[in-house]
Amino acid sequence: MDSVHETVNKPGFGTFFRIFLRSFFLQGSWSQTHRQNLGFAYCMEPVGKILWTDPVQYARFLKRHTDYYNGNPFMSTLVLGAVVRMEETLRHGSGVTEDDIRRFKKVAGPATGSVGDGMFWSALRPFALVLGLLCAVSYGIYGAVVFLATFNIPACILRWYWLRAGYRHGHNVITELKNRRIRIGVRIMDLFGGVLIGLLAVLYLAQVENGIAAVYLWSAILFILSFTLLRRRYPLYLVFPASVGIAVVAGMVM
Amino acid sequence: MELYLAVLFMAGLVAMDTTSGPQMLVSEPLVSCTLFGLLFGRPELGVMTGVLFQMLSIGYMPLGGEHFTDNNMAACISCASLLAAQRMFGLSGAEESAALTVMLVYGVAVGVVGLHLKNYERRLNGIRAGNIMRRLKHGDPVTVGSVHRAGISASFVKGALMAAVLVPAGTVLCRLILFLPLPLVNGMSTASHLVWGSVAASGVVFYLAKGRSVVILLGSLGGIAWIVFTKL
Repeated sequence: MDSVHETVNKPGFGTFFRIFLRSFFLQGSWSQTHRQNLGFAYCMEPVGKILWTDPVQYARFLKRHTDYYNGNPFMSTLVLGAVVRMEETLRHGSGVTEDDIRRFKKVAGPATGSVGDGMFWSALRPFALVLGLLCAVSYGIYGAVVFLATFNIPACILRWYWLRAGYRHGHNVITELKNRRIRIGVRIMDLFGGVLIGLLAVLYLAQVENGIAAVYLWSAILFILSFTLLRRRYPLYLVFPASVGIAVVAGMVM
Repeated sequence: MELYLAVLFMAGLVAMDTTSGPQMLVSEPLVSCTLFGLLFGRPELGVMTGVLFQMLSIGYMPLGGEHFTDNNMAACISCASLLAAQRMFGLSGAEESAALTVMLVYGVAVGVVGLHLKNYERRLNGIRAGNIMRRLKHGDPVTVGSVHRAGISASFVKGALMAAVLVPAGTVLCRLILFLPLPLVNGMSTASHLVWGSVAASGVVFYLAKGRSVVILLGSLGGIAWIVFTKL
């Protein structure tokens, strides 16, 4: 009887796949005050419906998952997987309390935020973009395809891997954040991104039809001017229109 | 009309993908402008606009907590306006390039509008989340899914509404180029090439801030060597 009961309450592949799909919309109701709380509860819903059939218990489940939560949207599957494991343990009364789950979310969310943002937003996205831009300059519409593939293939694989890893390791999964391979990957993407942006900055001008020396000269002047202002933290929405104004005047006198 | 509806739909998707989800980055200028280019039958113009806007916004991070100008909507609306104007008024080569310059500046303004709308949307999300939490506290039944989906839909509607108003406005702006004196149009046309200097600076500054000056220099030298060898 007991084994039947446990089988019924175990989240299977279908449940994990639904969490995986829902994790793409984690930030759907992002708010300044509660951040991704509704998104997190939305991702956890399929598990809650399996584990907590009693309406009162289910309401308590929703309540603890609508607490403040903020983490990296890609890496949050790691937290989701671990919380699924913790919920399961709580359901079977094997040593995890509601407060443990709350505390874990409070610690793990920001941790994934700092590692995940550095990995996805600061390294993978710019690297994929520069690669896509280089392809776009040479091969047109294929640049967008290259960019999407470079970003989304690893992002989707890692989302799923982290969801499963989180479930496997439970609250111990936080060690996954110290994974050396993540840091090495970020470093490599940064280095290649730097090389490619230098290459792109120069190669784009070579594409200009009837490129004349004055075009290169004025582009270089605008580059230096914008570069200096941006380095001094002048906002782009002021620097760019100003440089367009200069470019129009330069274009008229050329 | 079908084209206009397709633009609104795509703008809705761009607004949604930027933060609400699925964040597969189809909202990035490089992708959205390429798609608009294909939609209007001018892929090369779409790609060119996308490359310029993308390079400008390469360093911004669409983090939830970040108050960023909405660069994705800026690119999407400006590109759609440019392509619509090209189609409706048959802009010639120089006029088309001049319109691109105008749309780059228009995009900056659209981005600032997008920032304020995003903040408003987030306040609404906060109210919805607060209501859910209050109801849970009082033991009332709640459906998190429908409230969350309302938040996602709000992003879509915001994008579609922005496009409904700002694409026609941008198209009219491009139309005005036809009334400008020729030297000014030619100047604006040349400027569409010159602004690359400013656009490239934005991308380079991002990588330089990460301490990658040596590799940037290596890449630039590689580019110069490539140009020299191919021209010889």
